[in-house]
Amino acid sequence: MSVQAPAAGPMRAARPARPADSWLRRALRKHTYLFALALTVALLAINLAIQPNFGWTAQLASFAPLAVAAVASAPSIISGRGGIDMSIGPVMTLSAIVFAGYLAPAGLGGGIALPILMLLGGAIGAVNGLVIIWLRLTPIVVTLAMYFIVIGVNLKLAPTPVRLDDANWATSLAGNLGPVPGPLISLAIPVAIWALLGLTAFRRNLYAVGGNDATAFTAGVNVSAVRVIAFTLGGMFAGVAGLVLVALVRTADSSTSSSYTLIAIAAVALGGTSLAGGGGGITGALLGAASIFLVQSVLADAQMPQTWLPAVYGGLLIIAVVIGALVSGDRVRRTS
Amino acid sequence: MSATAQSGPGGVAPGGPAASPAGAGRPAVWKALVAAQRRFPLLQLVLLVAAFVAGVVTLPGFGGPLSIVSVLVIASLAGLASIGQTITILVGGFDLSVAGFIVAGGLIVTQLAERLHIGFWGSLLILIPGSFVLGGLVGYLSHRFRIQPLILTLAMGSLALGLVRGPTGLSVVGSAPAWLTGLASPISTTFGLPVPPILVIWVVVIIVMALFLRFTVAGRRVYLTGANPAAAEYSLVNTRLVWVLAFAFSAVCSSLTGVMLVSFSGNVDPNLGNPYLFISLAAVIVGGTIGGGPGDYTRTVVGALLLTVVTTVLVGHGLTSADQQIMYGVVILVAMAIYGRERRIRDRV
Amino acid sequence: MPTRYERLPAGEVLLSLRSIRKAFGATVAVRDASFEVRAGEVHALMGENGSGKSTLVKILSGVHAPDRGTISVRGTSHAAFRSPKEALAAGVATVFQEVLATPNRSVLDNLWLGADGVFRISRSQRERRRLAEEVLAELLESPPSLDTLVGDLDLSDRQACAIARAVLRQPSLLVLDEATSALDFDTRNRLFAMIRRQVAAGAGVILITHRMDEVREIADRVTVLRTGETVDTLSGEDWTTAELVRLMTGQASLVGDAPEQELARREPGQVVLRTRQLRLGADRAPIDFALRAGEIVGLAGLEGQGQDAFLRSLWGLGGASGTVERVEGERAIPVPSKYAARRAGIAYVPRERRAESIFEWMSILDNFTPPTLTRDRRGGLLSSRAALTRFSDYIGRLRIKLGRPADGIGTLSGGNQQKVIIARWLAADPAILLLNDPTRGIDIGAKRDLYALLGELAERGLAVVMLSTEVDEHLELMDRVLVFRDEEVSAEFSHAELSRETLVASFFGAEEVAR
Repeated sequence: MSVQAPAAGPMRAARPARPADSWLRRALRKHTYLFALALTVALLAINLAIQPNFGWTAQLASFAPLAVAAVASAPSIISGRGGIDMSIGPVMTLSAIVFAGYLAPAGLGGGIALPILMLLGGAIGAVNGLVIIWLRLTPIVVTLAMYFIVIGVNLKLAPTPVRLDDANWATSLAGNLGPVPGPLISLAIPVAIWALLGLTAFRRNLYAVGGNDATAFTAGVNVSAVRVIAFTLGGMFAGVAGLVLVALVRTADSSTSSSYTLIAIAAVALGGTSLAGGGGGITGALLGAASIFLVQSVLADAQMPQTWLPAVYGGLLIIAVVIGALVSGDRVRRTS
Repeated sequence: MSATAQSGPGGVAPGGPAASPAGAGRPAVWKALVAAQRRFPLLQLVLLVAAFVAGVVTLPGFGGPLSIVSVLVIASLAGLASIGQTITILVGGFDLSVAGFIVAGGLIVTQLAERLHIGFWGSLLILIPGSFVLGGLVGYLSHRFRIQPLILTLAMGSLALGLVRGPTGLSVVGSAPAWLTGLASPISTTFGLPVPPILVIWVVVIIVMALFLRFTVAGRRVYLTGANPAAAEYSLVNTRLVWVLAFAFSAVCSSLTGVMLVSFSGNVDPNLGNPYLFISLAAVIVGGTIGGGPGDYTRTVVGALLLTVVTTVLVGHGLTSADQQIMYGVVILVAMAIYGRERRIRDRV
Repeated sequence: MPTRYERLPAGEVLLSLRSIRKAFGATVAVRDASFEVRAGEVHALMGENGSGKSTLVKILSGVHAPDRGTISVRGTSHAAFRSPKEALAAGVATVFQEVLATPNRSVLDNLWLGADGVFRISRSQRERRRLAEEVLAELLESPPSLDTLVGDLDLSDRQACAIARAVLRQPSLLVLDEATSALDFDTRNRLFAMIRRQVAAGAGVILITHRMDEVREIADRVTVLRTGETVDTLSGEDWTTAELVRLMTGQASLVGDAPEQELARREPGQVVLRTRQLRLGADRAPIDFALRAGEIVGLAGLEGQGQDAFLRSLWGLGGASGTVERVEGERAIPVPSKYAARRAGIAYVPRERRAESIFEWMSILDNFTPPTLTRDRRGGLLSSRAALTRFSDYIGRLRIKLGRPADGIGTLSGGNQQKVIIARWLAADPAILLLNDPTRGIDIGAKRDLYALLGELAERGLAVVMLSTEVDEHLELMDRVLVFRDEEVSAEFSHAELSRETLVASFFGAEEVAR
């Protein structure tokens, strides 16, 4: 057969752009927290309908530990490569134990205690990050190992629950600090830090690394530094979360170590942050946490017995993660 | 880069020479040891013997027959809890629902059986299909939506526990039927043998697992799915089905282990399963099974034995449960640092 | 645009590579590469698949460090760039062949990726926007808004973003690795205009391309790479297309000194596989293809021109529209999935041995059995003896060099590994064998064995479709060759019509045939 006539001449005209996604899909992709926002609003409405005396300050105080824990889980997840930090819960409890057991009895005020706790949490986070990049291990495994180690440390430090003195300044974090509800101040701390980071290049770098670390690497981003800092940040926020927790329940109990990890990750996922990294944010984490908290609240108002809670949490997490995968556009790759 | 045939289905013969140029200068003895280590859990066996000897020497009564049987019983519980973990790790995942299913299993055969008056075997009829479905769901969701199985299994463990605890209420002190408690008692016998039934059960399980993984098509497909999911798909292995079945199987094993645990401790409490989560992970990892293979259940058994003996000896010397946690964490890190590292970012560009 | 680096006067040496060597394990990707780029010049780098181009680019961009050799930029000698950050700091910006962009981020963020420190911001937001808009306006006739998500752009615009990113770093040396392949006509022209402006201001540009027309349009000099070595550097007046093709392919046959055995040409038999109205892309010409028993058909063309997608669709994979049918006598059975393909007697050997075929830690025998596991069942259990018996047959026929079948697959050379993979599928007794670049990276002896085997199998009625990136393979082995360009079949040659020059020239565009 002879040679066919050449497909010569100028290159083809530009291919048509991708068929426009529905506006809903596009909006969801740009603002990943929208679903969680809708859910929160709906749940809040239901809550107010069932229980008009909402008691904002008290509710916020109950909500605060979960909210800060969710915020703490976000940076590592955003940093990509399956960067789920399993140690957030135990670090939170450690922070609570250290405060109630050592800092409060020493009479340390917020100005000193808070930085110490953040330093402690940040150090553990930094260790996580460094082990991950130096040994090139999967983040989940490293943070899981750290989870066990910190639980052990918690058990050693507080074999029995440590009680916080009612007169301690910290309890006002769960109440009112003057005219301002204490929980808002607690929440403001990590949010403010995250906002400040927005003034630097760090957040941009974080999302770039999370989206595709190889691309970021070729463009000159210091991928290792960004990942370590992400984990450090998470640890710092977990330190804050511990203080908030102990302010609320007035005891530091090592058996709460495992409670918050699971639910914090659920909150982040529900808030639209892809567990593969590179997307989402703090807003989503907070809204996801709010949704979960409000569901629990609705169930409590509907007088569901406490014993059903594990089932609810478990079911919620599964649904949250699946929705999260769908919402974040399925650009999820199994890390390998 | 070149691996010698590791413990897995067909590879039993000594592997070929290592291709890495760095190996050139090492003494032959070292290379032989490394090659042997890949085939058998050599290091683990050595450590096991060392730990056992240390126990005999430093703890009075440690080497006595009753003591040994007791240790074996504890190891068998750890081993049984690790069956599912072995499979899920071989397939390329992890299973953190072990704790939840263990308690759920224990509760079902005690509390639920009482409440619903269905007896032991009746409760198994709920337990086995129930955990199968829940576990299978995890495998499906994880594969279909490419979600980390860790999260899903953690959630499912909670869900499974909740589903059973919900109707039975907070008071989870159940009591086991008398014959069940006999299963794991160190002084009971099996058909005249001076060995508690649970050990016999364990041995049977070990044999069945070895046969399954090494000699069945399904077992081979587990290895293929874990070793290279893309290549497995090209070889027409339905990797989604493998994942579903692997996690379903793991859930069922965990539930049944809960039943065994009830027999051992005589009652059920909500924290019954927690230690077994760590133990199952640690046993598999210490045994030398890596995510995606190679490995097998026999290694896990050695890992379980090693952990049990070491823990027993240390507890005899004053190790608290807090220390145990720390130890497990460190052990996992060390084992992963030896066995499971990722590629450099440069090589992924 | 203001330049960050003081540009050297035209003619001064901007970049000099001396005796670069890079090996990955046992594979030597770059053997000995040396060339230099002057300020104010566009320097094209050409070579066939496997010539070492992409490794060289990775060395230039700092992803890999060479084992030997030096890189000098503007007179400062570096042993290597230890990271892309260093390369960029030295003034070398690279645009990679694969479009590397983060789809979830905005155009603005993508354009400035990596320009900041970990915390330190390099430019104010206003300046970033201004400069970004400037560059995009240069490159694109209707540039997207800076806040659009890159994932929403089409491929050409995404590639333009990657190029803009490099340009915004104001490099002394811009490296474009096949960067034009994804661009549409208009953008490409604008890019070239931009390149001309950049070099006029004293920058240097390395252009890696397979498009002869581009080289002629814009390159001042051309360096040719072959099997990891820089063969020659020609300047504008000295080269012709024929000369370049000769340099790239080499006078000697790639297959070595073994005498070219003329494979006996067979009479093709019945049609066994057929495609109807198969389109690899939305507005591509349909492909109607018929495969006959005993034929060996080659799929050729430059990377990514559609031959891979075509081959995969023959196995029921991929999203092409149209039908693929297995023809048996009077019946035509559609092949919509790989399971259907398997049932229809079609076997597919994937391209990436490591990623898609090999089970790395398993034994040789276990790498042979996967698709045919059920045949080794004896009484419910797998018999390794049965597997061994089956495998021994193939060890002989394919001349696989191994220690023992129970050894790890990693102990085999690439060529022997590939033989095991092919044996894996031959064991399924296919009527049609699809091979995706099976001889890439394998040694000459293994290649010869494979050719002999394929000839023998074709003799017995097996139909083979083989994608190959080696010209000599097409010349020697194939009964006919389909050449792909832009996701269409642009040319088809029978064995008699084939010659090296004709074939290579057709990759670049058939008008070259006349030369």
